Amino acid sequence: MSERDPYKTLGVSRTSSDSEIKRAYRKLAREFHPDVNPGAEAEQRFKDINDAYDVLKDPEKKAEFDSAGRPRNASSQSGDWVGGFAFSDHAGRQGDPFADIFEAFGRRGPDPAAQRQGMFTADQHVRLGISLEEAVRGATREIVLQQPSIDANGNVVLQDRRVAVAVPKGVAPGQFLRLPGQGLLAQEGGRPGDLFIELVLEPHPVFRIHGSDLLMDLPVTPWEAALGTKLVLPTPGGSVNLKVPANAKSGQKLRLKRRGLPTSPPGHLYVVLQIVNPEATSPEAKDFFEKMAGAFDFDPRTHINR
Amino acid sequence: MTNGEHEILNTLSVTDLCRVCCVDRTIIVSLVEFGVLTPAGRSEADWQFDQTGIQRAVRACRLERDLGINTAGIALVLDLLEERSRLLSQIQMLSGGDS
Repeated sequence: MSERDPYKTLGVSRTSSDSEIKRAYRKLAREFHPDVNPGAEAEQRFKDINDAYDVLKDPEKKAEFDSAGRPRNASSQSGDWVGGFAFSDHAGRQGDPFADIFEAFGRRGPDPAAQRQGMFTADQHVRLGISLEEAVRGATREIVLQQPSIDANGNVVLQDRRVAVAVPKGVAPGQFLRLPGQGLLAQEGGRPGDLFIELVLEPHPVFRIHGSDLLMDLPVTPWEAALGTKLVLPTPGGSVNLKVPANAKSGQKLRLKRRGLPTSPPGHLYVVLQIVNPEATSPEAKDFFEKMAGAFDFDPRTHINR
Repeated sequence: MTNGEHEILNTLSVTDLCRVCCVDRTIIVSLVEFGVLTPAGRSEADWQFDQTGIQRAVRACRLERDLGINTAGIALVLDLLEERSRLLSQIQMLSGGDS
């Protein structure tokens, strides 16, 4: 959830100085930067931190929040229409929090002046989270973009614009797409820019994504592991038959060739076996384990006990 | 709702990469000089950045913009992040995914 109080978000008090606020912001920005901490949670947190700093670094907005309890533009815009694939929407604008640092290193973020000259103005950049299933099978997703335009009163307003994005089958994680002519209309009668889309694979509850390979843990019973078994495994690309060999060991890795992401070349699916014991709660079950103990001359700790 | 055709960006020239990253050419050139990006092609005009290069470039430009890290710092951060993700996946393999 987005924290509405920018002081709380940055963990500073109302009496904190500008430099204390800046320090707190920089520390949190480093900690929660989504390129350092993958996941939707860090991304949201990073946006909140930036929204909070947007209010507190601006004396006017800060004074307004202090008196009214909310900033003038309470709704934060997620529109990344300036600054490339940014996580924060103030990158490259005037008042960039790190403008001084960029200047110290002799360069800046995207130059607003260059943008006014039409250098990048018309291109639009969006990060689109897709599920593993969508990456494997392809999908059509609708995204909502914001197009700035001027209303009857001469104010700049952001209008929603819907674009259908065909996610191609078999995209690799972090794949970029270009939709020509789907960017912003910089000026009436001008040529619209392109829409660039960064496809980000969302974490999956069952499959771990490692490049083009997929990894999953497969729980098996002790008897399945001992005797071997055949089972049907649901995968994002459809069901596959899996043969668990007899005398399989816990942690044993089985490779299903070309059953990973259907990229080119396709990845593999790795199944890691995990032997799971049933709980012996009933007298019958306990009795059964007793019999097993009697029937096997088995010590898994020989290497420890010598 | 508009429905447009798409193009998968597999390799990009330096000019197109600048558009994707929304940065000045000098920034991409300095990322190459610091070894953050290793394009194919001998001269700047022939440079081609593959998918890994595009992803690295976008990350590098974000880190620079959002955290104010200089190019040498970005080179180090990206190397360490890649090392970390390699180790994390190794831990996942070893622990059977409990982590």
